[in-house]
Amino acid sequence: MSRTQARWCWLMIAPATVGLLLFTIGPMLTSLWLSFTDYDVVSSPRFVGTANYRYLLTADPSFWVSVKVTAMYALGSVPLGLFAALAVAMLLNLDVPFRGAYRTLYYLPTLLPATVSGVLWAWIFQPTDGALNQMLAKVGVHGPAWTQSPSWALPALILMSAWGYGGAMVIFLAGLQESPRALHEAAALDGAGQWRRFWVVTWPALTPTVFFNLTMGLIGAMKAFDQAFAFGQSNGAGVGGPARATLFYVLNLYTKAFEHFHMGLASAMAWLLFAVIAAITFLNFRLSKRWVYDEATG
Amino acid sequence: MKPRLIPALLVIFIGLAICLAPLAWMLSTSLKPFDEILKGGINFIPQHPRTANYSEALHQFDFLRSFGNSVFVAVLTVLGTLVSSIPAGYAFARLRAKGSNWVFIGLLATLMLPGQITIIPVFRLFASLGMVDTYAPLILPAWLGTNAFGIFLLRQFFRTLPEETMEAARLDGASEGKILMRIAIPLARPAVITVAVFAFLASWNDLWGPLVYLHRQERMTLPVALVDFVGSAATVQGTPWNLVMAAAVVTVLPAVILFALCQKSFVSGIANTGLK
Amino acid sequence: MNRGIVGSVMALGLLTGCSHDRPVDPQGRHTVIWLYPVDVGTKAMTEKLVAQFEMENPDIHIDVRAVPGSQYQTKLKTLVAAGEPPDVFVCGDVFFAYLKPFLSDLTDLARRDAKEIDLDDFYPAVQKAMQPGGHIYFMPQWFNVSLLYYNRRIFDASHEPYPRADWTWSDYAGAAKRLTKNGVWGSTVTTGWWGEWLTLVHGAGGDLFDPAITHATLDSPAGIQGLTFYRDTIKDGFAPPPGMGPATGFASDKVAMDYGGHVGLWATYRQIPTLDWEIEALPKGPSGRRGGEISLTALGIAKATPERESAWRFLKFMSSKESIRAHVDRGYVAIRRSVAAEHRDANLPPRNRAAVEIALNSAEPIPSSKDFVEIALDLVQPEIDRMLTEDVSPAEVTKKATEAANAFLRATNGAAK
Repeated sequence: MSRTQARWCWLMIAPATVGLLLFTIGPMLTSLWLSFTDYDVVSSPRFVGTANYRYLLTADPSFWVSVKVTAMYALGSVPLGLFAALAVAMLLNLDVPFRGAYRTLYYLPTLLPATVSGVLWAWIFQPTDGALNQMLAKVGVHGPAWTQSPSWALPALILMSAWGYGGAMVIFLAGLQESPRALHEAAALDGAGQWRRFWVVTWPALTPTVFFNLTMGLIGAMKAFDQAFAFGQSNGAGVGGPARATLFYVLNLYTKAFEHFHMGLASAMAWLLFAVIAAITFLNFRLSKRWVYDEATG
Repeated sequence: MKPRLIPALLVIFIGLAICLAPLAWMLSTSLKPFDEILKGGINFIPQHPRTANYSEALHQFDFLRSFGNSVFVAVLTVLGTLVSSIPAGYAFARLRAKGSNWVFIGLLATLMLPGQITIIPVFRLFASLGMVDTYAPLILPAWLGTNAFGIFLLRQFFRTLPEETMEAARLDGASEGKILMRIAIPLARPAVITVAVFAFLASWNDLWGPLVYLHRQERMTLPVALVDFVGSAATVQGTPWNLVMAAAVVTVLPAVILFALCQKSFVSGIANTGLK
Repeated sequence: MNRGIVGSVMALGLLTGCSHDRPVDPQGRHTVIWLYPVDVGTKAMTEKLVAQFEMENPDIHIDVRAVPGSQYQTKLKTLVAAGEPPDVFVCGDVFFAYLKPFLSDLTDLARRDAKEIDLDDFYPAVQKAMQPGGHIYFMPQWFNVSLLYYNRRIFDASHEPYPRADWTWSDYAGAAKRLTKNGVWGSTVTTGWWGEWLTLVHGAGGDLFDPAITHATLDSPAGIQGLTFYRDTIKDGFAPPPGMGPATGFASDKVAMDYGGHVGLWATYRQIPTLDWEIEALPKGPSGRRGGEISLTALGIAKATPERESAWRFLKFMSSKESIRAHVDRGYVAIRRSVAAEHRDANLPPRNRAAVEIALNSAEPIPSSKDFVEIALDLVQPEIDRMLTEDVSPAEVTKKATEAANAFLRATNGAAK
């Protein structure tokens, strides 16, 4: 009986297994090997040891800049987005009428592909004709040259990213609604004020969702590409510009791989990224034991 | 409605206004004639609305064809995703086999993987098969269970089904395959819809894949066509933002319509992912 | 389950059918695959030329594969790298050094058909640019040189004398400063690529590399002088900071001069009848050089093509007098002297065609390094961006850029050629 079951099991997961080997495990190992070669696709890969890693970490002016840009983007956009999402979710959690409609409307921007957001916000942030600077001018503020300014281009992208946190908001809302009503009422009866009730009852129940959103948000920020690419194409400062201000890590990778065909170098970049994502995620999980409330352990 | 909710509603509305203003701006720009844009100013209502922007955008840069390409790729991708993910999700949820757990863990791990780490060898693979500048690299992986998120969602769902129903069918002599087709899948409608919608959106909005694999203009899908359009459509008077926004609206429309239709199950699907 | 399996097999079959072989022409003609960068402006002209060629050569079919212009280089390289280069592709400009290993050496064909292609009909500077190292790798359709554009209406309104061919940098800067007033800018600075700053570095007597391309020379005194002048156009206030000028630049009728604009802009500016524009050669720098570059738009043939003769016939056609005439009608400058002498566009601006000859004779070729674009755009340009927007000194910028370029050259010079 269980042998037939086992056979059916393997039959059903066969496509996924093939896919896993063909498109994930195999390529991961290959790209690891490629990262130790000099490979421009036209000729065969040539083994160069750790030269790629050494160039990236010590001599390439764009590598650490793109790390910095990505880190700043993550540190800026994730807290901002989570905070906005949580705030909206908490507001919607009150017994407002037509809550479902508001939830849908807030979620709408996330349906947009990052390319459309990138293009749309490049237009809004356009220094002379864009809506933002024109609005600022109306109140007498001379807006910066957003998309053309090395200091303001990244903040522009960060602001844009907060717009797309509707997904996190929906998850927060679901989490809030699971929050035990009985506990709330008991706390209220005990005389606890709004703030205290939040910290003692709502927050602990919310921490698993916060953790989930934080993890996904961080990983997403580190992998960001589409919006930066679209933004760069729309603003004429060159992709990743101006002055590498929007040179996200993955954008740097793409340029090295598919514009200049330094495949070995790009593979090294990919593995470094993987290592960092794995490390940060691991750290995240570890730290979570400290602050995430677990039903079982309390 | 309790009066103390009024301040909350106010904040909600202000937030909505901020959130939706860019979308409204996108729509309004798409209906403006070019000289209205050149004039500048913040007017949400175009003075002389111009629907010709849409036909111009669609024809000038072949957006109609890109739209069709996107549909083709998305439909085949969703089909492949469902065909490979549903049985896998069921198997992981309800069937035991030695070693199958490793496959599941492997699939979960891919969720954390940046796609860029595998792109070069996969590109080589498709290049050696002569499939560069075709849709195969975009569609084929979906048929081989690469949508780990979908598999995960379906597995979670299938786990909630009562074991008794399956047992009863087994005692009746039904094979696992029959159980899957006749019993499990019909019960899984909401989960299937969620996975299908997610897969559709992912394919429809994908920039990375088409950017790397597609070359000829007539093969382009919408996201690439849009970015290209912006990058190269600058005329004497500057970028034709009204046409660009018209193209952007067209790009977004199917996703919005699909979402409007499947809203309930879709949103609850998202909500459930964060809780388990 | 059954339907699913059948469906999957069918789909897979459909997809594998999407793989690549050379297209077989139903009429049995030779098929030449041309990778063509789409440009809304030239689409109609190109279609007509291709149709005419096929009519005159019924045994050849041109398979025009249109690729988005902004991604042309990436797509071309990807196809080359994937082992499927098109038969004919665009080259002759800054990417030539990179593409050379994949180009077929056409010198033998050019010699055989010398009378037909009539090399001497091309301007001397063009001939020189056509034969890097004495070999011919491509046939050009038009050329681009850097010019100084000026707005006569703005000059007239300030009673400022027009630019002259013997202008120096200080003449140029002086006029620009005087003309910057009342919402009008004296000049514009193009950012984001090497076009202008490299010209100014040349004008000061320097260059990005040494002739043998072993190291970068941007931090020489000439390099610093050139970049200082570049920065001062903004700092001294006669050119708008990046992004802050009129969105359409010179075409907005609010900018008196455009330094370094290419010939390709003629077609654009001619579309604005109210713009009263004219050209002059670039002003001479302190070293006496004007510093502008020349680049050719040309077609080359892939080394591994099975259709070399057919492709060559197409190239000859596209560089023939007839084709050049079509290009002139489309707004390009004539690359053949005989066609230029026909004055087909004499009634259109600009009038000062002599400026083009001066520009041709003073043009500097682009460094023939396959890494030039990457170094100029990815390593040097970001430093220059910072100089323009964040007040970093040219001396520091050149130092950093030179270091980065040298590190790159060292790291890749061990690479296979």
